[in-house]
Amino acid sequence: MINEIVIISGKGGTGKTSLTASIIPFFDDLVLADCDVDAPDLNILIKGTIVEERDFVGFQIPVIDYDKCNHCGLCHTSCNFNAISEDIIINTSACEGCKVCEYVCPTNAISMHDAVVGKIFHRKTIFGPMIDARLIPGEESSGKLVAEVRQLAREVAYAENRNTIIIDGSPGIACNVISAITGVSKAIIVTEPTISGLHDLKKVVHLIKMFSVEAKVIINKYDLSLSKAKEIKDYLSLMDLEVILELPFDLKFVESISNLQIPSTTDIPFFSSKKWFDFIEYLRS
Amino acid sequence: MKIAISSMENNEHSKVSDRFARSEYFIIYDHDSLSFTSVENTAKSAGSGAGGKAVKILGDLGVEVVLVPELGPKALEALQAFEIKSFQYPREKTVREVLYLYFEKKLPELFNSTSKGRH
Amino acid sequence: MKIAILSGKGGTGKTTLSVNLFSYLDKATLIDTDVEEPNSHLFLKGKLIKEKSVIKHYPKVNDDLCDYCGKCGDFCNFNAIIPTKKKVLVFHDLCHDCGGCSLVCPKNAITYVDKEVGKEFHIQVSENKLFLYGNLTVGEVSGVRIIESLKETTRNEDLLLIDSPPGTSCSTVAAIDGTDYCIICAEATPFGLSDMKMVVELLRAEGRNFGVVVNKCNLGNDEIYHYLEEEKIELLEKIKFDREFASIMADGELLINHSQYFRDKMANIARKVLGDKYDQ
Repeated sequence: MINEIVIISGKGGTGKTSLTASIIPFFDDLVLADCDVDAPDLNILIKGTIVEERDFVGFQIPVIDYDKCNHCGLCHTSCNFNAISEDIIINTSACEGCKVCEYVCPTNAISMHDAVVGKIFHRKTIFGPMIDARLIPGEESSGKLVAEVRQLAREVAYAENRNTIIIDGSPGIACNVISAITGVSKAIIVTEPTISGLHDLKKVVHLIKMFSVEAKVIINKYDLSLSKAKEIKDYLSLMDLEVILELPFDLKFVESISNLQIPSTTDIPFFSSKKWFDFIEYLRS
Repeated sequence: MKIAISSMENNEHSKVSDRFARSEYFIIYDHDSLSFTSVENTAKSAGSGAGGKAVKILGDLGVEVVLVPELGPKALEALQAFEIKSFQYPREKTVREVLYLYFEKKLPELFNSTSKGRH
Repeated sequence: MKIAILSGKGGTGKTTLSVNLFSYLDKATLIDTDVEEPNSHLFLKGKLIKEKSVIKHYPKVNDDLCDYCGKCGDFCNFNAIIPTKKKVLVFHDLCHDCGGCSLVCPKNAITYVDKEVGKEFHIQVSENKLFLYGNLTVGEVSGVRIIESLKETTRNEDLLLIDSPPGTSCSTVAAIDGTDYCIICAEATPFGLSDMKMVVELLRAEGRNFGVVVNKCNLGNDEIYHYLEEEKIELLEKIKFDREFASIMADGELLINHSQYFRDKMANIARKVLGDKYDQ
């Protein structure tokens, strides 16, 4: 059975992607899935060559045949999302793909078409295959896209007999996060000792509990506020969640990323500690 | 009676899928005619609500029993609405193997969601 | 004037910038449109003057009229309504509230029921300062409705600051719609630069005026400055990272109250962006 591990954070900037990258060198049967589609950063650190590209089709959007359109305006008044103007111009940003306009048009002037809104890439890297995606800016990074990235990651894992998939999830709590956490073996939540960090952590925990996912927490940069770190630990203890790792703030961590190096491959002492190795053992189990 | 099994490929020798709502295929075994057919699972590319859609596909085909690895809360609710029974299989088996396990009454019936997700 | 503050990547200090800039100004309105993870209210104290439910609708089927023809299920693109032969199942958190199922129902068996997708809060921070934020209920698919509600409420404000959601998704597009100027909050790390480029691409596609504040400027490298120069993008300010700042923010305090350096930075940004319009 494939070991699917997802790394998420409620708040952005907690160090999720840097930590995900740090875990990678410790696995030799890996497929990487970068599901943080709004900020697909893993491939900045982990370069790869493209093996395959697939178009990603978002939901369908309406296309108007102006030869048939009689400007009755029924589509404009029926649209609940203000996606069709009075002059019958479609605002694709606002459109949610419900097809009501196609249904109400009396002259069959509207038809729904697949819209390619991005691409999914399968790359070959020194650590194994990596699947990531790019969207046209402004387009919705949906649960569907995350699901397709994960699906391709699974296909590649089966095809190449690899037993672990590591998923870099998105920050937040919306459907792209939900899609990243469903059906995983383990979830790792990365948080930071700030008032925002704790606030957002609570929302993620709520989500995790709703989907009954096994989760452990990493408090990153814990020494920026020992009191906040303690508050987080107390909260997690109340929620029956384990803090599996506490990382100190280390300028070398940021420096290594700036030098495009994976932090755990540099001389940062933390990554030679027993705590780190215990954590890797847990991930492998 | 028709039994559906989540599958990775489109034949009965394939390995079973490790997901229900977004499995690649469903293999439908017809116990009256003793035959297998396969159905591509179009729910797998749904933006959301794949569980409900997958069940509808099977419900509309007249399936009465599904064999699954796990079930999210929506899928379970939909299965109950369609009055389809669900049984849980161990992974890493083939479709035929889990079907035999079902007939040998070795698969547990699912009443509560194994709760591994929604959208 | 309507000004959006955005970032490609989370954690660059966008909310820090928004709440401190807002607090620095004499007279302004701030809306926090990051409804999934609103944070601004953790730093701004004031009086709650209004709390509003943001509603969507989902379908309710009248079993007496329904004959289980299945047309609603065939129509729904979101798999929110699933008809069986004996009953119709509705998954209301999947419903996008498009009205389609009711339209296609030949028996008029479908009506709509209200559901709260989130809340909107209005806080009076001081006589001339109003702050609004929204909160999306966990599990709901989209916060766009709440963002639109916040913007509608504040459409006539003189000086509006919009703390936008991170990233470049449709929530961000909804938040920056109709703004006069956008401030991108970026960091000088490789991830920060890469994510900022995505925001730049979005703003250029929309034809918006924008400038950049490089936060935590002493962490990272100089690549970002080369990029800004090459692309002729205005660099509004550089703000350094200080562990002291992190500690202060960690406790929910405003940096302008503890650091003259930071206060000066806000003054500079206000002057550059607002020109003669700012009051201090």
